[in-house]
Amino acid sequence: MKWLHRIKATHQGMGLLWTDEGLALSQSRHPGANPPWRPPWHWHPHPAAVARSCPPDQAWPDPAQLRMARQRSGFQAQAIAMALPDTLLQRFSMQLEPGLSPKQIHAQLAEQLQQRMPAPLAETVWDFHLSVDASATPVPASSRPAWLLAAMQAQALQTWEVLAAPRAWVTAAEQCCRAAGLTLVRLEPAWQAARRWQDWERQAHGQACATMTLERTHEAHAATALTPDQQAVLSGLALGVVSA
Amino acid sequence: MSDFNLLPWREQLRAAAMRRWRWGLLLALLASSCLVVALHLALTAWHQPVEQEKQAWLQTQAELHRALADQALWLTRQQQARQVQRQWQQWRAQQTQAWQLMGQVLALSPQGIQIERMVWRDQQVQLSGWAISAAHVQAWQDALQAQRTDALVPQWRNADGLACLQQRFVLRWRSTAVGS
Repeated sequence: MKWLHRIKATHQGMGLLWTDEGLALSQSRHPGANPPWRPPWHWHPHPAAVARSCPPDQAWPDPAQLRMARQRSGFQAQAIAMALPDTLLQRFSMQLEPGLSPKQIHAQLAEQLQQRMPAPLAETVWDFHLSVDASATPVPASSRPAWLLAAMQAQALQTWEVLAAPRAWVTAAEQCCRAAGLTLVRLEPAWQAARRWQDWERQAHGQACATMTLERTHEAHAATALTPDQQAVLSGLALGVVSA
Repeated sequence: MSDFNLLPWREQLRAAAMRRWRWGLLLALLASSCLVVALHLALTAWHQPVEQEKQAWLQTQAELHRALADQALWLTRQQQARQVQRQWQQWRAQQTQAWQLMGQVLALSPQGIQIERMVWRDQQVQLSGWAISAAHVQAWQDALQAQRTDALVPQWRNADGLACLQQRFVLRWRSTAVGS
């Protein structure tokens, strides 16, 4: 039955968030979960000595503590998702011509990023995403004909959002998770995880349920010392680790 | 909504795609090889009766060639046998003819005649000897319808201790015996 447990674990993941006080784990969504679903979470407070030596922005939690927290939580997971501290992230906005191939996009973004980054690009991990913000593209006048609007939209510059972080920090994160018996599959900014959870709640439960979830979140905050934003990040990580 | 992931997921996707492509290529090669082997086996199995039939035909052809070779020898021997048979018949005919000729000669009265030599060659019979008178020779000549080729010259000869005046004669005629 051990192989069955391993197969089951490969299809499930965890979200990890650590603060000054401890580690918070959240179990990913089961494929057969019902729509009013909230990720189960587990709070593992740090020992006092560890908390003093491991600020969340600079070092990683002890893999032994992570392994212990996982065992105590009873979560079945092999994949894990984490949020990057905002202090380590650098965010850029770049414009490219449309119609480029993925390789060309990657090359041009790398070239522009190299010009803006103080460190060599080899010491940086980065990812990019096409911005769908309406403000990035010029708003066409309604008086213009449709063919002209289509042509202007086709020729408009595309705005790409680029996030960069130190490669050493990411490598340390991967090693820490590997030492704890987990595979890091998603490393994303905290605001993205929080927005994922908010979108999930909005789509799955509606506005009425969101208010109720907020009340529950306050209750959880009282119990786990996590702020509502941190709980949203943790839940978003649990959602994202499944789709990663 | 954005979907940033600072892990090298693009590289992993590329590596996974390359890995899938390699596995696909490997499987395609494997499948092609299996298909080729299966086709080869199927064609071999299908071709085996034809090949066996061909071998049988070749064997039959070889046997026929050998038979033809034996047939040539057989024909030669048969020809030789026919030749021997023909010669045997000819020899039997000659023997019969000789016996008839001998019977014809022996049927005549030998009085006054002493035959020294009788030659039968190329259907020509030559009889030479001595006679005590021309009349005895004439009787033989008439009986045998022969021709005399020499003159009757009387000569004294010793015949059983007695001196006799005898004539040498040679008779020739053409044999007309049966089978000649």
